[in-house]
Amino acid sequence: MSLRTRLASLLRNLFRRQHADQELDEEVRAYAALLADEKSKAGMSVEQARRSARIELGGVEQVKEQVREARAGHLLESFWRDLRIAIRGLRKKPGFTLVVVLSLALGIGANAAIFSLIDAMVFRPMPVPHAAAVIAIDTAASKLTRYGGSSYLDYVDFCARAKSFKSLTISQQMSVGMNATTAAPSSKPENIAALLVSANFFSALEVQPPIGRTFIPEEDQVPEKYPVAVISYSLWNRVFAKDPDVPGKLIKLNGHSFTIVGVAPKAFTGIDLFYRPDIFVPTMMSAQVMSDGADTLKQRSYRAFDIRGRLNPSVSVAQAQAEMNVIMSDLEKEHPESNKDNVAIVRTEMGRRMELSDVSAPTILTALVMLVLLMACANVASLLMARATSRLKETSTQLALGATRACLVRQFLTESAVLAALGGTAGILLADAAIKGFGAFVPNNGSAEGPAFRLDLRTLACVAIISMISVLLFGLAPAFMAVKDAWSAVMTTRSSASSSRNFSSIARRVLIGGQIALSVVLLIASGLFLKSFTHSQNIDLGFNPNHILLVTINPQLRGYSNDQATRFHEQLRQRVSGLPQVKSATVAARVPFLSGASWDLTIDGYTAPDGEKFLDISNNQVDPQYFSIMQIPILYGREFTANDTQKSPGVAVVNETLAKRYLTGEGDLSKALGRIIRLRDNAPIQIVGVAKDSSYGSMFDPPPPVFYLPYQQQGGPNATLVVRTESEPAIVIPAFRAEMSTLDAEIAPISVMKMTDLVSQRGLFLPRIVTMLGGAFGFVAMSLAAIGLYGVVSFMVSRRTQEIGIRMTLGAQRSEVLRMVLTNGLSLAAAGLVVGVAVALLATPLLRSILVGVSPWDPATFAAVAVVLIIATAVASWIPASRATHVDPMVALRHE
Amino acid sequence: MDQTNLLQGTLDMMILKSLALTQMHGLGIARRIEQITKGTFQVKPGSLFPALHRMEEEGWLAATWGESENNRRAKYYKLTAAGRRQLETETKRWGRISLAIARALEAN
Repeated sequence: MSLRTRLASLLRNLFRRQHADQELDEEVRAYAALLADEKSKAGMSVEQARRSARIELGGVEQVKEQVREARAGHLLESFWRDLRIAIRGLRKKPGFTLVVVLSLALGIGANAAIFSLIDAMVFRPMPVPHAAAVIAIDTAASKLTRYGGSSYLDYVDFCARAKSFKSLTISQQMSVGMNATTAAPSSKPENIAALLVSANFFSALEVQPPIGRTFIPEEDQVPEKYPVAVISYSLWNRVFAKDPDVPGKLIKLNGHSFTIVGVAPKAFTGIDLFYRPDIFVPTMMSAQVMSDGADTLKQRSYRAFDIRGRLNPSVSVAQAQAEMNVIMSDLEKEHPESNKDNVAIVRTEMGRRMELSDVSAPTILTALVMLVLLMACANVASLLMARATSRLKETSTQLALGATRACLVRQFLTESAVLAALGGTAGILLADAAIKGFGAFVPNNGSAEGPAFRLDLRTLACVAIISMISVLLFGLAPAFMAVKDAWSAVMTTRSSASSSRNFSSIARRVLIGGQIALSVVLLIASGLFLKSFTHSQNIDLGFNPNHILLVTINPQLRGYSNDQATRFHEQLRQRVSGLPQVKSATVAARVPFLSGASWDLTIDGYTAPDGEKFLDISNNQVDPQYFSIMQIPILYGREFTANDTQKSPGVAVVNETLAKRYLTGEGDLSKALGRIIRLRDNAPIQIVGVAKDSSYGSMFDPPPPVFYLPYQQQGGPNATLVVRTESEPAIVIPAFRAEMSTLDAEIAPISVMKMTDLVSQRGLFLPRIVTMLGGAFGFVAMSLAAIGLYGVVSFMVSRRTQEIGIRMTLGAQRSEVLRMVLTNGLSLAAAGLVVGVAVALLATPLLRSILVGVSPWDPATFAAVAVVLIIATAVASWIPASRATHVDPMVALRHE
Repeated sequence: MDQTNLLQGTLDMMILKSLALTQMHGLGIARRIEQITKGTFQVKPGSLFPALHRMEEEGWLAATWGESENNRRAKYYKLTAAGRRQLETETKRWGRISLAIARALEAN
């Protein structure tokens, strides 16, 4: 039949159902009348003829039903009917519906939130066409590592020699000061995320600009010749108010004028999940946007670029890797000074992320939320079973009246689907709230240099799939059981409780026992997290974060030169030091937990066992008083003084770990004083002090080796004023800002924060989020288990009401009845507890990587969980048990 | 013969055939089938009406309300062009099948 007539009948059947039904009725009745006419003509009496016709017809309604089933849209129609029945049924039991929807919402919402978190950190594809085909090349300094930036000169050689790639593009992240006032007068100077890119960057990634153009090859051949830039969609929107005439306008980057040539598409947020550049500049303009920008193009050992590209058709990653191996060994021969032992690693973008991301915490969280969902489903399944049992009479009647079993199972499943849809919707709302809540704890969330943690379409799709799976998980078994029970009830004509030990009641007990076991596991895990978190808050940082204000300023933003910037910081430091409430102030290029860098270092008299010439070591450049302000003890020698200037000899302070590892071994640390270190092969720097170890960027890893140089000798433009205050640091902020604007009215700080906030936001981010989520899951799990247990016990009580009534009539004491019911609930709890503890003993060692200072088998945690669980289950069983003892025997005996 | 013993598709063909000459109402179709098969097939309303409605939705039949010989309102069915084509196809198919079955039964 043609699609048109099919659609027409479908529409008619669905929307003019009443009319079609009426017509059908009339038709069948006409048939009966004609038949009766025929019979009376053959000699029957009118009455006889009518009767005989009815019998031959076999029932008007049955015939009509058979016709309806043959009609188009029959399935859809019966689905609507099931849906209406399901919604009516759920509205009649609001308590049941609420508990089920809430259970599902918690399970689904938790999964959606965690999925979003992991998606934002690892899985969200690069926002370019054919993202799966994008490959990445890393250059590693030895065969042992699998990660590292590449140098510009190596990249040029890769492009010239490699045949495997359709395109290779290079980029480097940096922060620039932007002044767009000439193009957009209302804008203010600000610091933005920039990406230095090769001219083919956009074309290689297949990204088309909606406005203007991207770079052309000529713009990336001669250093400093074409000051052009492509801006991000978000910058175009934010600063230029989507001005379509933006191409051709001038903006200043670090004080140099650049011409905007185009706007990147809205979806394109760069190639890194944690870095969303606002402006793209050709590599040849590096000298204008970076302080050491000219070097970046000339030095083969300056490995700060990320290479991405696409393979030629029919070339595999393995083939490209083999070709790169040959090229790298050629380059090693040609440039032994810079390329010794260097290797290139070719991977797909996604393969690279999977290999390099630390997914241990997200993986553990995923496992936990899956458990929560499983528990929610178990809970709903047992609630549905209880409901089905209480509706046994109704279901049996339906069966007896001729409903097919398939039809009843379908009806039960429709009810589950409605519950899942409600639960899924509530789950999304919950996840959205959770993501907004947790987002506040994610460092740099949503800013240019942080993950974009949000609920997106991919998450919604994930939620939909989870909801559908949960329908099958919790809906199918109860549906079949209910119909099976009802069937046997029809057969045996028993309408209420059949045997108390039937299959579905055992299944329910197993489900609840399993739930209790799972919640024990989750509670133990969250107890361990909580303990680990408490412990991590008391970790000795090696410095005193209290009463310290941090103000980070980059005067390069205003076009200052390096020297001008250093002078600005020094002037500001002097002014701030004189403020009331300020004890003292110093300048540091980096601040623990805020920023860090590692430089290539040589130590005279030390050769690395692996023959590496340079050591890659964390460092900081600080002004006098840094150590006394941070309260980092100097163990030997001295800290920097005002006499350590650009004109005086180079000096350094090293930390204990550096001294022990490279200079003195376990011997006398004071022997480190006077030793010489060098930045690469440069001028000698004498060690004048050894400082006690302190946290550098993580409070869980042991402190790395660190060397400190005087800010006056090695400082860059971007630095932080570290101010020790008398009391609460926030109260000096207004005076601080006033001093800053006296020096330069247009300068704005990049960040102003308290050291304590910094430590708790950055340093404690992971343990905090794991503890919060783990604690929430544990609580949810226990509540679910308690609700489940309550359901099972009160159900048992309702089924044994008659028995309890008889017992009490015959003289049973209330306490005996109470004990009988309580035993039933608590034996289940005890079984669950034993299994849960056993599973936890096996599983908690998996958490070791994210636990600080707590054994995975911490006896106190295990004991506390056992006590909490027993109390919760006792309460859950006691409520229905005490209700049972207040049963009126007369009512109980009549109870059917 | 019982409706369940009807070969799949046979009822459709019977209905199409019975309507080949003129339009008829449900009972008329049932009686006509009885008559042309000399009473072998007795079509009950429980199978006749679903078939009629299905075939109407397929576009083989068109229905109109009309007056019966004894002045009763009844729904009359007639073949459409598609229905005639369908009857031809069915007839050919049936011819092939019955020939094949006859051969199969004669073979030894």
